[in-house]
Amino acid sequence: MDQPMEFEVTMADIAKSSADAADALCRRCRAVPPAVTIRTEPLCAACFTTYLRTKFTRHMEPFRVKPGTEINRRRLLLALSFGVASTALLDILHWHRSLQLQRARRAEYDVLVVHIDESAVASSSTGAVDAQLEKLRGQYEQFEFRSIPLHHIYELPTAIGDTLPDEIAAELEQNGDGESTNADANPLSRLRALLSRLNSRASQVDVIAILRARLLAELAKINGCEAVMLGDSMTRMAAMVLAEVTKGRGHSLPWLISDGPTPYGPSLVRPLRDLTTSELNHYLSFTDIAHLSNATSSAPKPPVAAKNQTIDEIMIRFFDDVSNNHLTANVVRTAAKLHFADDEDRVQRLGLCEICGLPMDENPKLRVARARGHDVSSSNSSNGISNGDSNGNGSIYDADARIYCLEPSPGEEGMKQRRCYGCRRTTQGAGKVDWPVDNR
Amino acid sequence: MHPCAICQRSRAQIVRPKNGQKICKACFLDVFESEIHTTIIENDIFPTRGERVAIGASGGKDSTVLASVLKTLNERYDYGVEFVLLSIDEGIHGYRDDSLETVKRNAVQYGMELSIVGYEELYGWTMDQVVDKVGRKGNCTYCGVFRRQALDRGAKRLEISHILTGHNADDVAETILMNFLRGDLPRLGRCAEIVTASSTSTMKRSKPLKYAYEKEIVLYAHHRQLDYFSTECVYSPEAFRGSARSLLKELEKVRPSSILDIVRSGEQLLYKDIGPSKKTPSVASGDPNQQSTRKQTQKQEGPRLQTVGSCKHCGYMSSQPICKACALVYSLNKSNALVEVLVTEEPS
Amino acid sequence: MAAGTIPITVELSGGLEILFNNVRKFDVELPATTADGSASNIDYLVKFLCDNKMTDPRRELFELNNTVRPGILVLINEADWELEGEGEYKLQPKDQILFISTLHGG
Repeated sequence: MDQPMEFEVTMADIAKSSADAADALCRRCRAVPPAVTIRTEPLCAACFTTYLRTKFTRHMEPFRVKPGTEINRRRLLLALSFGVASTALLDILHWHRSLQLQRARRAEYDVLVVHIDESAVASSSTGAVDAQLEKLRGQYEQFEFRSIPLHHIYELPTAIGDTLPDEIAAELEQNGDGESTNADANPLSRLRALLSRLNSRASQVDVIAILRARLLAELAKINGCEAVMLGDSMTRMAAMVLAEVTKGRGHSLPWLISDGPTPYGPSLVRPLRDLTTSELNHYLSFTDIAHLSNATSSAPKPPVAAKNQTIDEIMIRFFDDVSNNHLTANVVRTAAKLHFADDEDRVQRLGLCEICGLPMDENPKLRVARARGHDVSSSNSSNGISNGDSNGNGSIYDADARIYCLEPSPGEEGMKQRRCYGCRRTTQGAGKVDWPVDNR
Repeated sequence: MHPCAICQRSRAQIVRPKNGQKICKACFLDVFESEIHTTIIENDIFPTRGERVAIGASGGKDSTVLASVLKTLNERYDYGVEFVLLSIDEGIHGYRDDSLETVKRNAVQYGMELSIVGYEELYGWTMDQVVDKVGRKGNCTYCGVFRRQALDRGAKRLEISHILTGHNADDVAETILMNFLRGDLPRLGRCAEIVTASSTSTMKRSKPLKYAYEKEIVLYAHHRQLDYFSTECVYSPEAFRGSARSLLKELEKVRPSSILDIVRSGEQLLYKDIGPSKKTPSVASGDPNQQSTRKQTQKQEGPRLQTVGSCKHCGYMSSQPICKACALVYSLNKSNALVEVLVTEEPS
Repeated sequence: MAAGTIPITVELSGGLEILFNNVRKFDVELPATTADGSASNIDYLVKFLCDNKMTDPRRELFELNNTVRPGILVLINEADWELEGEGEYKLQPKDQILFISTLHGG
């Protein structure tokens, strides 16, 4: 059996500079004492900032100033949570665009900064969004800022407002707050009704993240933005990889973590993906903009009971605590190498998940058989290998569902054809839900 | 008092981690056994009647439960296979000698033949002697390499080509997380498979407890009053804090299905999809497309293709001229202590 | 509530007994109330055992975040503690509490 791995290895934590570095000079400019040690290299604040911006710029190649694009100004949507990473990205992006203006006397792109306001459904959000945005507008004059409530996703043109399932419409009528008496129930109560059907905080936060990503994509489309910029750091991406693995979404990992197009629209770009959270923290303090993020200013969040934590929170804490950065890098690098040869085929055969909008998974046995080159096209074989249009039927006699204890509750039969494994787990017991966007 | 969700009669005593179901002791034992039966049938673990199959037995909870359940199921469903307990004597005083006593009792209790192979007879070194020589740091590497080959050799001696191991869902999930943390892509693509054959062995290995939670295994052993041994190896590092295992336990607390969900994720990451293994799987594929895809990806990724040969020293299957075990023994036999030999453990 | 003690039986298995000088089963007279006056529950029992019965200094192998370390099963009169309110279960006289570690070798 594998020995447990000890993570508290004695590798130098880059956040804590080593003692003998203090009296030396910055390794790069050799002019001033170092302020921080990055990957064993002692650097001064200026050299560190250059290092960090270089890592960022590598991912901005498609948005360099190019001749001939002057007329059709390109637009980018920046997702801002007021956390450390997205605040850093905001600042670096502003620097990047300013540099373009300065050097080429024009900028390649405009930026729409969007904060998705989840305060109506998530207790952790702050109330002072407007004041915070006002502060940022003053500091970053080149950008346009907007705050959009999460439930706005129910008001999008693509929303499936008219096809509300009857029983949900009925439930909304019963539980609704007076004004919501029909299928056009107000968006916030629809969102709340959706979340209330989920069986844990972990599932609610998972669904909120899916909705947030989707709303950002839809807003990008509506506003003519070709890409959504996300502030995810390497640390955060490592946490995301293992969190999604833990939620049973191994089958869609490449889609979840790759930059580039999504099945539902604009590209994703994560220009900070090579930088750790602690590096971004240093950046905020060196550039004196820590006050613009709410990560440090706000009071410590109220403690969440151990059982009410979410998978994402546990993973984020795990990687914040991991003193050994190469483990974090390993996770991201490994996940980035994943590519599924049969992805396209899988989308054709099985379609997209009605919840997360990413390709469906399939019965692992069938996958193994396919990988070994067996013919699995005859879907009704007697040895239990069946997928295709029946994907194991999703019935109570389905061995695949039985092994994973995902037998459908009454009224949930056939869910297996429409929801991927991870989304079935997250929505288990929720039955038909009033989902705001149509993926299938 | 909660009534059992299955029989509706007895007092519920167990909460199933997989689905939160509250069930009584009798229904739990029944459900636990029938899930393992389903796993065996669905994955065709025993394709040949009359086959002799080895159970890697350490005397610990997992292998004890495995042996007990297999005896029950073989009688109930007539798989028509014969089980042999195969134990390794690493030569660790105060640990293995005690646990081997447990295995000996199990052999009598389950009416199974028992075969013990020792590191001393295979390699000329007991683990006690290895630790004397190399110290406590890194000794687990020796043990892991030795054990893997020892199981194979023990089975071969019995003319058996199929070994069952007690790896449970928690073990598989932990291995998946660890392979991400280590950045080991080839193993990531294989570690979730229920039946494996590796490059260094013609031996088939299966994990019938792959979907069984550690919690349920321990409860099964408790309620069936099975005789198992549960002392930590005296040389094992006390690596609880910050380990993948404690991360897993924390996740299980928040969403008990997590362990199963990680296993499911791992199953989606087949080596064929995610680039080749560094080694050629010994189970040759008849599909020419698969071969060519592998070679193509091979070129992109760069690692050299290794072929299965045999160790020049001991003649045992090896992907390198000298097998890992012989390389380690060589380093031990050299007068200088602490010869660094780079080895990685085979996936469990 | 009258100050007093609750007689209970504690059993340790799956390797946990090593932390308790290899004693697998013993009786405990548990204070009926904690310092702040609330009735003694499982979490308190764990603290009590660490303070009074454990012989191994590695407390964290049994107690974590003021409750039982994840990976250790608790059976209250042979029933999973999840059925009884987990750490908040209030102990009753003659309760049999079994702690089984799942963290030890397999």
